[in-house]
Amino acid sequence: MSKTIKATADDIWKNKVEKINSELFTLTYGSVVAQLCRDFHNDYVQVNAQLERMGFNIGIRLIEDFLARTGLGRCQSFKETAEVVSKIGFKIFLNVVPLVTNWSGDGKQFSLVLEENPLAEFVELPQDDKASRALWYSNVLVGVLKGALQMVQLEVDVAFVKDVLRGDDATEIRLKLIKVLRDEVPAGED
Amino acid sequence: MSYYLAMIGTQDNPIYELEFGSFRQGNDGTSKFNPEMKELNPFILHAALDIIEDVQWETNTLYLKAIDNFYGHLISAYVTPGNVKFLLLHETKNEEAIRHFFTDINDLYVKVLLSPFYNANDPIISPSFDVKVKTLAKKYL
Amino acid sequence: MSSLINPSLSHTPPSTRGYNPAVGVLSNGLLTTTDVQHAFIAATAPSIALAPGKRNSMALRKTPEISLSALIYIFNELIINYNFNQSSNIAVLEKKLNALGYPIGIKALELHSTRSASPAAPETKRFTRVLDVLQYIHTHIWTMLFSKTADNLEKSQDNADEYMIIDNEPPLTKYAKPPKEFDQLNCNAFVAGILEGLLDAAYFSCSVSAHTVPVDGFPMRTVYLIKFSRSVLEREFVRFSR
Repeated sequence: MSKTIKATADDIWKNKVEKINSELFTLTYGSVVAQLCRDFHNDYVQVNAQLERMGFNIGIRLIEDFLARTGLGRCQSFKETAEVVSKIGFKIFLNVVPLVTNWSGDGKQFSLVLEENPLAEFVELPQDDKASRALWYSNVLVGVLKGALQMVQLEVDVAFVKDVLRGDDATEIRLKLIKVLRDEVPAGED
Repeated sequence: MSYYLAMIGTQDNPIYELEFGSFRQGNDGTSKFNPEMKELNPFILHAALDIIEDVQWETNTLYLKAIDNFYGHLISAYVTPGNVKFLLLHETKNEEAIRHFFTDINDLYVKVLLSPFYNANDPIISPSFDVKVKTLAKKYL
Repeated sequence: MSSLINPSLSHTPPSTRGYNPAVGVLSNGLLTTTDVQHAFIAATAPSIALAPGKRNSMALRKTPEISLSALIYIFNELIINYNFNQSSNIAVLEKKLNALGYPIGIKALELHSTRSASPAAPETKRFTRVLDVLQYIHTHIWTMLFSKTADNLEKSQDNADEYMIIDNEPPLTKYAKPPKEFDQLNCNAFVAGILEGLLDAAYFSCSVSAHTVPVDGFPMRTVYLIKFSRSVLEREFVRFSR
């Protein structure tokens, strides 16, 4: 199963994705974050919230792009969703494959561990402790995951738990499945 | 043997300075400028900026070698494509080692520059940059 | 406190590491043997990328690739969601985009020159002449940013200080279609900002603007108009005309 997922992802990456140099991407994202910090006067809580909002808007559009490129159907389990997100989703947009780890006992929570983060290459957070305590630099990813998964009827709580920019040993995002949204049949129709 | 390194931004503003001594031949790395020289060092380098401005348009290499001389002290310069100038005040001629030193510092500078929170011409206050420059000084000089 | 009053006599202890521009050389210099001992204890923010050495050299780094759509999503969010709601007219929005691209230009210039140092051409170069720098942008910078060269480089017939770089299919705005009230907007003001930052960093001060000039087959064709300031032209004339 996982072999075909990886093969699909590599195939799509090779043939169906227009590629560019990731440095322009890193620099553009950096400029977005720096601009937000300036505009909110270093209120990092608000910056995180705005990054998540922006990510959400991206996510709801990105999911259609993703489904169109991959032609995949519904995932049968949350575990499968995790595999598809990490091996295909991240691969075809960011060209990285995070590791899926730390599954909770009930199978409803897992972590994505990013070994390399194209959003945060060469970034050094400002020296003040506030930044390294409060800012999640790549918070846009949280919004993207939330938005995209919501569009496929999964309400998921997403948050960063660790970030190398803050001095931790790895960059880790935790995803918790809250519920599966079912389409409701309007009363009177059956 | 003592060295005084300064990195000057595009608006002629210093963004980094370091005073150190040679690590070769049993020297311990501390700078041995006498107090009068210590006070004059920034002025000497500042005066050399005029010369750089002239010389930089005549060649398109980055390393400008020794461009000035102050009573026996040589001043070597290196200009990055983005016009940030690295100046080193030193006592003995040592072109190759200084060239490698400057090239590696250029590498470090670009990495600092790439961070979105660092705006051009900001002073470089990062402690890790400081440590890395000192490591390079130990390696080459 | 005493170090503020007597800066040249007092010596900041090595615990406050890093260069402090307010204090100057005394903040980080290797002036005593204790300084040297403390200098190499690097207990600082993780910047593994900053470690010098062949493995981490910028010249040898392979440029990673990423999908164009990722960049376009971020770019669109940047414009649409953020500046759009706060800008009253097109000129203001274009100026903001230009200001966002400006620092990127400075960084891109330095980045590309360290990258292009290779064993074959170990000495990277600076640019002293207008035509050299424009050609460099047209081929190398465009390739670095967009994986293709720009389509044309022209000098204006009417004004001696104007040059134009033409891109038939600007990748950032390929899929963007601004709403009716803003249909004069060219989001490539961002790329114009990048060019302006780059040229200013190389001491060719100028102003750059982006204009959409559609032509058969290329509806999104953009012309970047580069207008150099007088001092650049004077220097070019004085130093380089024979």
